[in-house]
Amino acid sequence: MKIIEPKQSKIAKEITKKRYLMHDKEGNPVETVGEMLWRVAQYAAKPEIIWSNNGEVKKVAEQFYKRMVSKKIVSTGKAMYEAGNPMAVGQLAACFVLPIEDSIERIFKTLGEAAVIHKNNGGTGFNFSKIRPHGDKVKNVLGAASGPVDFIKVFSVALSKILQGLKRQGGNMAVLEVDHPDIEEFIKMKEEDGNLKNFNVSVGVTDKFMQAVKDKKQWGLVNPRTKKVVKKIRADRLFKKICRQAHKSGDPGMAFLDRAEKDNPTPSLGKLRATNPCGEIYLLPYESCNLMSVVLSNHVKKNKIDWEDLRKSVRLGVRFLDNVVEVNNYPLPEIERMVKNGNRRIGLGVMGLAHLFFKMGISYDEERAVKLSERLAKFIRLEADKESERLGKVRGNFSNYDISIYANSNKPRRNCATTMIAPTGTISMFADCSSGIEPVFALKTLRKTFFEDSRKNSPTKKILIEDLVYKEFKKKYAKKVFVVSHEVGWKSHVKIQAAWQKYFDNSVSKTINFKHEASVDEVEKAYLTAYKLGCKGITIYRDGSKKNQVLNVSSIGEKICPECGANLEIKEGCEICPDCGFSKCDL
Amino acid sequence: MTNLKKITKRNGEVVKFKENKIIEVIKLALKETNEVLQKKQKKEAERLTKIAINILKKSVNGVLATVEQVQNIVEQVLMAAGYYETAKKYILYREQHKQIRKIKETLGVKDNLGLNVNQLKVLRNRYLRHDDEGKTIESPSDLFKRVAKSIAEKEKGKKNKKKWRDKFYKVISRMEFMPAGGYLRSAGTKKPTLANCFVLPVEDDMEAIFDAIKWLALVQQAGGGSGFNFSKLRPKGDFVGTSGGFSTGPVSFMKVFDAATAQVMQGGYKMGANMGVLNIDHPDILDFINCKTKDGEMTNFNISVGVTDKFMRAVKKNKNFNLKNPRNNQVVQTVKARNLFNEIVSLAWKTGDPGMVFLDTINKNNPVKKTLGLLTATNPCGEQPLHAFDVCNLGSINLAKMVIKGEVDYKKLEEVTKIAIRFLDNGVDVSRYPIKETTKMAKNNRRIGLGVMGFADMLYQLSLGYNTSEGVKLGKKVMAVISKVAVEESERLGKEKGPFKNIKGSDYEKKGIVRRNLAVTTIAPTGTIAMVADVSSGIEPNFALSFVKNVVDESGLLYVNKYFKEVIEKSNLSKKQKSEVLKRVAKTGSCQDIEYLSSSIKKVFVTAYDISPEDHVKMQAGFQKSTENAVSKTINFPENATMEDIKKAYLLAWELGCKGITVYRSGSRETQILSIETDKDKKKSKLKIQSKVRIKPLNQRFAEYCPECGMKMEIIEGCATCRSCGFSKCSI
Repeated sequence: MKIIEPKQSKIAKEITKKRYLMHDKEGNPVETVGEMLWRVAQYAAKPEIIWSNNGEVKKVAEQFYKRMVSKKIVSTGKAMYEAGNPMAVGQLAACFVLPIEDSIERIFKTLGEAAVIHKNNGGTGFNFSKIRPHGDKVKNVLGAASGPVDFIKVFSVALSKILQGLKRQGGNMAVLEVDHPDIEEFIKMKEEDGNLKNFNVSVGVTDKFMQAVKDKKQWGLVNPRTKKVVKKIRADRLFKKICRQAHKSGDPGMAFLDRAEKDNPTPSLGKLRATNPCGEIYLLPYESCNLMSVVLSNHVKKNKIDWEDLRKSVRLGVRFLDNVVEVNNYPLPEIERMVKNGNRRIGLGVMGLAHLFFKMGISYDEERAVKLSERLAKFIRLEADKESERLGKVRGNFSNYDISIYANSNKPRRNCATTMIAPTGTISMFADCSSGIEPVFALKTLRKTFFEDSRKNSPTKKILIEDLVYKEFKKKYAKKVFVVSHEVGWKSHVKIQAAWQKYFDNSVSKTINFKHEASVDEVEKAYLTAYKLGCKGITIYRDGSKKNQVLNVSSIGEKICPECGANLEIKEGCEICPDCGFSKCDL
Repeated sequence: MTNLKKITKRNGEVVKFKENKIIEVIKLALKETNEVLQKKQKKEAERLTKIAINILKKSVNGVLATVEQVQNIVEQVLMAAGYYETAKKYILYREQHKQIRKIKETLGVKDNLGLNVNQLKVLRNRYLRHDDEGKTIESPSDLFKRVAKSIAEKEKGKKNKKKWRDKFYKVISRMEFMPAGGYLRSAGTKKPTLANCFVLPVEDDMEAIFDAIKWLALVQQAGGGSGFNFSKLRPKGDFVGTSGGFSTGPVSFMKVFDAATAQVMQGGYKMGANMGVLNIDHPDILDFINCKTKDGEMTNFNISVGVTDKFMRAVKKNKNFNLKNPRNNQVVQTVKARNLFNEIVSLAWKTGDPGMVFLDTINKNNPVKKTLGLLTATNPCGEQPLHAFDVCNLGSINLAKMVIKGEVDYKKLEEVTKIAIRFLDNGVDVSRYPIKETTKMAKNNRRIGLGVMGFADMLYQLSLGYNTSEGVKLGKKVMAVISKVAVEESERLGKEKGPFKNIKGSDYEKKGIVRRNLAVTTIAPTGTIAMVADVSSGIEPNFALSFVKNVVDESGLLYVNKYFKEVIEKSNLSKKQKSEVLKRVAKTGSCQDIEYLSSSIKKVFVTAYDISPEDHVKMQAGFQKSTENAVSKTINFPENATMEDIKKAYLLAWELGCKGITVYRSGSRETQILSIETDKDKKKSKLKIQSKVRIKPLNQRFAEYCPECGMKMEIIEGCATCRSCGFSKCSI
């Protein structure tokens, strides 16, 4: 095998060096990018030995490597750093969901588990709805209970204070269902407590609630302990409250629980009630998901999609992910049981969609973009499922197959779910492509370069960088093709998200960007449209909204990269630093 | 002929009519005014009573007389006889009592033990059971019966159960012995948590740390407090193998513990007490010492530095001292011991924290050292050293009730001690514990802590000064008697009911001693239960001889220490002087500045700030001598105390064999609030917004004011207690 180096821009090289390469004690990289990719490929090919002979391992490793070095598929950043790295912990998955029950003992056990996951550089999601409301009875004592928000605060402090020494700080997602008595407190929680920076929050809503919003009906808040309605409020007013808050600060998002449940492959194991912080993927308690992304823009040949090439990428991607499930280190035995010996959920996704549009002369804001998205999504899902079926035949079905919705399909299946759009912030920079299915954030960015050997990562010089694909195609197509995030109407944002969600079985990570002048009304419409079009959730960001929270000092810092001080961009439900690649949901 | 054998009381109860009672009341009123010559007062009172009874007989005419009627007639008789001043006193007396009755009614507590308003209020707020609407459904005697019954249930056989129930009830209802608040609150309920101070282990491992947080939350939810020793955690900046990052050190973890405490509700309040100990040789010791001052995040922690004899000797000789990384025992830094010591002292001077725990002294009295290891942490209540997961059942003998005719009634003291030991030993089995490991540890060690309260009131009765060698001598003697009897009783119980399980391999076994309990005596903080018994707390001197309390509304009632009042009344001061004394005492709490008060009175009636820190320490050491566990006490310093004073106290406490020391300089916490505010003002406007958020909980943080009723709290027994509503952070 001859190691070759991938083609990368200067910034991409810097980011790779800083984040993904192995270092010696002095912090100098001990491998090249090509060597790193070969390390990853070998590691992911290792388990092939279980199902075939040794020659296969090398062959598959080379296949993985070729796809990766040509940037057709890119694994998660975490996998690039961890895979086969003796200095690391070998936990390749980054996102987990943990259970929360209405018991102090259970709640704090979960907190301990979350700390272990975070220590290994993972992120966690929780649904706090089972906790009795604040001020409820405890053992006959009235007004004695701490509510969900109290516990979220504990989690927030615990997970930030302890882990402040770590290289990356994992994100957290807190979901509270819309019929919980503390829901109003939850909605305002982040604004009132600047310390909750490490938590994204989403309100879990049901079809029943959305109907009640439409009908302007009374909505009952139910104490989860007694199942009794303790308060009634108008559904539409509650909905407005959520939207107003989101308009103001970007939080909370919404999670459409019934929609998510429709895609639950193993309903008998429990409902999908919580999402992880990275891209809001719905997971069962103790479940995690391994992710990889296909670079769509690198599958274009002469203004046309190379479908055959794309098929190969998808097939190999699924194989890669199923292998990773096998070799991964799991932080908790419960997680290993749920993932490796249970559902084997994987998430093959895409990035570079906007760049693909640039190359093909399609505007993100036009109907053609939506149509093409659907076509791509359908194709990828179909091929991914085919590969999972093939693997199921060779390697055996996933362990929970018999209790899954596939039990009576007469088709083998290796993974309970296969496709997902993950946040790709940093790895899209590694691959020099637009992130996920997001539009390009800006055609020209003023960036500060930084070098590892400079003092304290301080910015050294400022350079104006032009989007690479734009630069190549700007003369070929009309200006309207090259729309950027804030120029794209919220409707197109939602439609693109819905198009991919239509075919992908896990969820789709996306931020719906609004102009600063956008009204609360528009935010409301976006939430309703997302629901109507079958999205599983929605996260919005109105340009500059977080900056406007004058009272909340700490959130001002939220827009600035903690590592290099550059302004952060907000996309895919996450902040990312365009300079150094820092991302809170770095995968 | 009218029958005047019985009379109807205000509450409808029919009791025997006593002529004497009327005579006494009239006599008292006459005495106040001196309208009749002193030697004729008795006779005149008898004559007037006869007249009143005659009128009464005619007016009631066959119906049962009521107390109200009797008093109306006495009023008329006094006026008819021309004693207008006396009649006025009598009317005022009636009015006053009427008000107290009204307050008691408002409190909604049925008083059947003759308790005063304050006692009733504390009982109602803290311990009496309520229905869902918050109405009191228990009388004080019901409460004590409930406690006695549930604890006597552990005795064998119906007869025994009844016998001990009655004995327990007797000592408790007479307030000769008072078990810890946990008993009063929850004995006889479905889930009795009788003991609620714990020590929990913290290991240098992420999962273990979060286990400790989980346990803390469980303890907290059950209404308890926990102590931790964080010294096993690797220091800040130390390498963490698996994650490729750096450790953030014990103080950062303590912040997480603190946050968990702050958010987990305890009986409706977000309040909790924890004790954090860090050993003096931990590299992060300076961060620890300063952790309560800088960002005010550690509101739910008391902190103490765990020091060794080696360190204290190094301080005295001005030698170097090594700080070691607990992960590999490597010396990280060498510092002058005295510099470290000075840092501790200066912070204690500023804020009252940290205290000190003398680890070597503690482990001198650790009979299970070989099997259970060293004692490294104390609980937040009274610095009771405990092994990890251990707990202690506490109760206190009321020394104010152990005085007869100016002498200590040792016979009674011995009797009550025996009953109390049996009571607390039963409590070990009756109590439920929030953590599995604790249940096991509690039952295998059967550690109990019998202590005392009302010691200052005892000294008042015996006319001994707290800060005299006689005072200390008495303390030593009383505690020695209690300890001797307590140990004997534990040994007797050991034979009767079997020894504690962990006696195996202990020093006791070696000596051939059979005991029921690992340890039997503790001077615990008694803040709230001392208020129930209406006596001075623990072995603390009284905070003030007089104070105003808001009982129901804002009006406020003036309370004067009853022993002081008695002595003043008996004294040969003029009437004017007497009332002035009470007024001045009400203002300052102390009587030391009153020029014309005799030195013998001044010597006896000292209060916390009249006593020098040195004498405080000596008293603590005196009690420690005969106490198997530790002694809960605050060493009070006047505001103008210097750091040198505090330094001396810390050294003296160590030299005299105290197990720990907690200091409080008057006003030090207030000063800190001010200094923090000015600090913030200097910073940029951007930070001001942040400081706004932080300033709000400051008054809670420094525990100067009661979070429930807003009154200023007293800092005694290493804890803040509200005299007004009985709130105490370490209410046990």
